Amino acid sequence: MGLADCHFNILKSLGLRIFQAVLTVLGASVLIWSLLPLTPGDPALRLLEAQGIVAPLPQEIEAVRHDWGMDRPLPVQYFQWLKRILHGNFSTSFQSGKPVLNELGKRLPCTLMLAGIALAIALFISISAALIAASYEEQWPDHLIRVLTQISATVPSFLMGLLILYLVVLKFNRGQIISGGQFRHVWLPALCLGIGRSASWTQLLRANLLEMLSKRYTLVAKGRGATRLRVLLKYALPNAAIPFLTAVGVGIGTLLGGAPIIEVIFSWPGTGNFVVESIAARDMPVIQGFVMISTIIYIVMSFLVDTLSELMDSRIRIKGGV
Amino acid sequence: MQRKKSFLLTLIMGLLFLFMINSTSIFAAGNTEEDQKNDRNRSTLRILTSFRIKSMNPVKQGFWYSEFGSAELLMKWDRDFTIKPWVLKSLDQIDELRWRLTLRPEVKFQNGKKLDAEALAALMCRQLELSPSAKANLPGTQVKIISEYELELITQTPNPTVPNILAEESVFPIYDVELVDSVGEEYEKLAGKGMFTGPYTVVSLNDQELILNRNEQYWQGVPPLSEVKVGFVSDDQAKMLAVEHDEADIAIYVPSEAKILYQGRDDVFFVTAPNTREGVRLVFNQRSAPFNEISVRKAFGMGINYEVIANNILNGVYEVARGYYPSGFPFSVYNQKYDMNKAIKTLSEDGWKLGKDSIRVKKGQRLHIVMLIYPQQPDLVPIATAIQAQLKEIGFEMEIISVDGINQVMKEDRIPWNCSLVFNSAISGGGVPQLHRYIHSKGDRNYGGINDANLDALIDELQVTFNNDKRIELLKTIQDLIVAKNGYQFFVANKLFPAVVSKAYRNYLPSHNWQHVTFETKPSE
Repeated sequence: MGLADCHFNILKSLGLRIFQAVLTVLGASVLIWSLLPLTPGDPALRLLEAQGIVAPLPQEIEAVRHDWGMDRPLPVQYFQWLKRILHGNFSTSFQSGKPVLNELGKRLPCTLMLAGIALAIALFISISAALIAASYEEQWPDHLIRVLTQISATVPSFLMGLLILYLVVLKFNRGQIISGGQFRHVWLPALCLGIGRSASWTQLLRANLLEMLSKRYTLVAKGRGATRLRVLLKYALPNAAIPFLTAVGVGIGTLLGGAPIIEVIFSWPGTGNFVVESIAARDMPVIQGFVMISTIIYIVMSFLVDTLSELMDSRIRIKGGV
Repeated sequence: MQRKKSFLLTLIMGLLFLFMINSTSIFAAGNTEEDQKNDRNRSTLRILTSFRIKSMNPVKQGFWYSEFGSAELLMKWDRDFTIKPWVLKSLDQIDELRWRLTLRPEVKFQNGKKLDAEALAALMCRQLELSPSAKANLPGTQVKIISEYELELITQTPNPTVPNILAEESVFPIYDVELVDSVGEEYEKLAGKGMFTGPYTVVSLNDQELILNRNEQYWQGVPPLSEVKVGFVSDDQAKMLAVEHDEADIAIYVPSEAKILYQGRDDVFFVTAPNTREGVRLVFNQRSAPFNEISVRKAFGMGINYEVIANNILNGVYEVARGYYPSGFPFSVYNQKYDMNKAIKTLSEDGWKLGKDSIRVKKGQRLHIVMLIYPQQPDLVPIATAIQAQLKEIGFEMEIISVDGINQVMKEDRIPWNCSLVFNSAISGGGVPQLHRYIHSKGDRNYGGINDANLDALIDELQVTFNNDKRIELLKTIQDLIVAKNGYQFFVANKLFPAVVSKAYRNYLPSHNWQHVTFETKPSE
């Protein structure tokens, strides 16, 4: 296969992926938009109630319905909503009356800080634990790591959060219950998120490393006298990293979308916490905006990771995509 | 060799773990302890609430500031359930439409400006124009300045509940209109400007907390606290743990079941308000069987063991319901009580016979009840479950369904329902508004379809009766008709507002009127 064919395959695959991503976003948008009309209760009434109007008059409800276009046919409402989204207008919050994008944007730095540190912790734990486990296959460190990853993969995040709060903060008097968005308090929620995220990554990377260690090229390296550590780091790890990076990329997408439960438990003022508050108040524009943005981030991250994997792995590149 | 490697590995792993835990603690613990110590030195009250105050717009969010000691009202609910002047020196009725409001000359805004008749008139006119609560409670009302500290309120129709309305937090929270108008829509600029008249001045508001400082010029004297920090924490567990960890002194809006957690503790306490205006209303759908029958409604009401629900199921966080209004109101009538034998007799006499499965049947129809509850009030689950178990003993088969938007579901009969439990947030206006909304045949929340001309006439009469003795007499007759005679509606339990407090605030008394921080609030020791 020539270089031109290879480039053509890459472009074809890229085009296909972009098309798939756009279709997925459109499909998701229909589901997300339908949250508002399908939710029980009159959205116009909820909007007025959220503004503190306890018993709005029928005329007031009608006026809101008209202003928000709720009196039009559903398909018209959907396309108007989609048009607004494409122009970056995610509507305004029922509760605050401010643009949803501003409300989410205001809390994004906190979420980014938490996500970034959680990612660093997860990467540190998963890479080091996977290397240790693969290095001591079927020995006690491997068994211990497998047990710990199984536990952290199955323990729900809210339980882990409460356990960390109880043990670390209450019992050992370290850290704060109310994190308040400050950098010095990010470590506990980040640790909680990072541990949860690292479990599956460790298992995945360990399995890939062991698979690579059984390949002929690593056996040859061993035969030539390379140490196990060198074989692991130089030969096995780069090849085992592709599926791992895919999982990490998708995980980043999820982390950037916020971690509602952890943010609520640690009173971390990020987007996740805000969305939980909005769910309680049935603030549908915020919920819709948040889910839409999270979906787009997730899809974009998946797209980037797939593309990156393709560029990194010549087998995928030549076959024209997975 | 292998053993050495294993040992080294374990050592590295252990050190790494210790480093992570320690880095967390180094970053987190040091400053925090210092902050906490500073807070204690400054006599700071740290109170946590579930609800975020979203802005300093006094029309939409002004009521919050009266709850946390910054804004004040014209009248106030006292602990003995009487309405007394607050910012006003007196409130006098001139005739059926006119009320004389006399201000205290000593009351000043936190910014030093005096609160005179002109400032109050400007506030009332602004609220009557912009506030939905003010508009709904006093439609078409006019304000007239009489002298420097006197003005008249002229209502469109006779309204004997004006004193109650002036004590409602969302109607006329007192603020400096000139100052508010000067910032336009940029309400955040009001922080630190002293827009209210209360003992504590807002210095900052963000998504995490509201900070208030002592108002040294406060008209009742120097407030005891130098600072009040109101934290917004939506998670109940986090709020209570924060009090345990000395990050907060008081946590409000805590779950009822927390009472058990703190029994026997000497460092953290669960406290409740001594009386209440809130309760759980049992609504019957009277447009369809079986609650279109008076005997079934009354038997249902008699089959509920109100004492067990309040004291055992809800751990005493609720007051036992003995009538249509909580016990604190001067017009409350105790005409509702558990009587299983009478309930059984009532049903049997009306033709409801026990079937083979212990469920009653009449003309082939089973006594099957669908009860609606909603998820936003978690206490409704144990209450509904207890009622289900208690009524099974007298032959009711009850199905509990939790729905979202319960008012809409009942209003539009979206699913077949027979009764519902609805939380009544606060009984206001001397009990009149809730009669109009929930009981009157034209009431906007009369979802059960109560249609009693006699009752309507009494409620209408109450609406225009000024004589207090006559009002009480009317209210007692109305309660007799609602509960004892017709079993139209019942209250199942009345919630006493709870809080979790630290040792320093163990004598803190939660308010039945949501006045969480007042001039009187201070540490117990």
